[in-house]
Amino acid sequence: MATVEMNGKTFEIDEDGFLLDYNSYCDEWVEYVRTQEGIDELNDEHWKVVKVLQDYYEKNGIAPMVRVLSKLTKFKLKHIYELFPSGPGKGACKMAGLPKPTGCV
Amino acid sequence: MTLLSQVENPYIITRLDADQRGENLLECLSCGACTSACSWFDQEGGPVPRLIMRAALMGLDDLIVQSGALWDCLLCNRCTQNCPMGITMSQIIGQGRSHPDARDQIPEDIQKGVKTRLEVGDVNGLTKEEFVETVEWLAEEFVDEMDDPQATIPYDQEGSKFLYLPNPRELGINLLHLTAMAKLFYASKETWTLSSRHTDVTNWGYFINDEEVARKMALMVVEPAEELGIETLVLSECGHGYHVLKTLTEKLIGRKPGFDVISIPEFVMNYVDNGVIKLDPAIHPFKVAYHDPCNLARKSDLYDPPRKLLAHCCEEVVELSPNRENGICCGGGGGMLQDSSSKPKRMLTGKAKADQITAAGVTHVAAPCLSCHRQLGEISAHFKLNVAVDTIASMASKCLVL
Repeated sequence: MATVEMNGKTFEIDEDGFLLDYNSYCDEWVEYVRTQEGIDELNDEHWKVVKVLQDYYEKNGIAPMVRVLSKLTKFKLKHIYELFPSGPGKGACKMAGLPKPTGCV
Repeated sequence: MTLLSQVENPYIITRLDADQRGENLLECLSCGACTSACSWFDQEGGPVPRLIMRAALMGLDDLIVQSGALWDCLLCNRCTQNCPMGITMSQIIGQGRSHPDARDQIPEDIQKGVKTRLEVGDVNGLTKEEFVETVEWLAEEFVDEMDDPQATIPYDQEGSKFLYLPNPRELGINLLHLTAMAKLFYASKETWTLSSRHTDVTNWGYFINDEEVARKMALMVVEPAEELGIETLVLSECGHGYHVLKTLTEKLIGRKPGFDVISIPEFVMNYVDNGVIKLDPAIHPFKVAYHDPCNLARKSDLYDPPRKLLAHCCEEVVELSPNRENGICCGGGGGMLQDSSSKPKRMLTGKAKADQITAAGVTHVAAPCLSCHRQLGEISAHFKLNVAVDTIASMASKCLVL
């Protein structure tokens, strides 16, 4: 199993770099994904996306559809990509500690 | 050694299909040209095409089923291209995959996707209601983006000239790609529509080689399209989806569909040729290498329209070597990319492609297939190729002069 380290914490990740255990999500994980994503500084909008994803995931056990994410955050699709260059799945969901999306992706 | 005559009811060899040139297995010269053409050639533990040929010929189905080759094979048919007798490997592997003893080898994600597609109509489980909500939402943003109240992303419009059949990614995780395609239709000034009754270009019945499943999935596309009365079905950039809908559907459903089938790069190229769509190549002021998806190129004879279109969208098209009918698979074909546990394997099968890209010395690669697109992006990161990857139609959309 692959692991990564950030600021003294170690995380187990899958082959695409998603966190294996949602419960090990913490600030250090966010910092790790921020550097991977090439985001200079996280602002309130990044955090809003992360919180919305986590609330939805904790309630429903799956990530929301992108349309639902847009509705809940009131951010346009393009803006979500501006915040997370890899997009809502590979960028935002990864930062929020959600598992990798499956299916035809 | 067991000979064919001594094996009871060999499954694979008796099911090979004359139409697809799988019947000529008996002509195998045992020369090994197939093996030398395989993307797995330099890797340990991969399938050995010559061994598969010989085992199938001798009726040794068990050997093939137990070898692990069935789902390691990329169905790219590069070995077939190299074969002096033209024996079709994808036919042999296909029959192996449908062998009753090999059913439990079907990757879990593919089993799940097939079931979901048949039940819901979309491989990712997008329901009709979710489709409508997603498209209506995108259409609202589209009006703002185009700054034109008439701009629209229509669905279920009877009598439209074109019906666009998206890739499930375009309604799931990659919605921006659908908007980019809508821009191309907008620029063509033609009537077009999506359909809420069939949202999915994929046909994973092809991967599992189940003709009944493949037939049902093909009909899920054909019948609603005919009811809408469209002239031409325009397919998303999807390799196996194109191969099935363009070259296998007539045989699967036993008749010609009542419409033409083209891929979206072909559609755009037609409107560039007639002067309606104008593209500015200066948007991408660099050289771009063109990747031939096996399903479009070697398996469906589509070589030039996507290349021609790419030439209108960048400084210069670079050919990877070898290319066209001898092109090398991205390393994710045959259903491998659709199996989420396959990444370590795909970084082995992608090595030959990565070497090819390195040798071309480019910074950008483009492919008219969203599966190749994802795999190429992943090998770029894994092998540190530092190349950006895009699809042809998406590059065209960015170059539109409106």
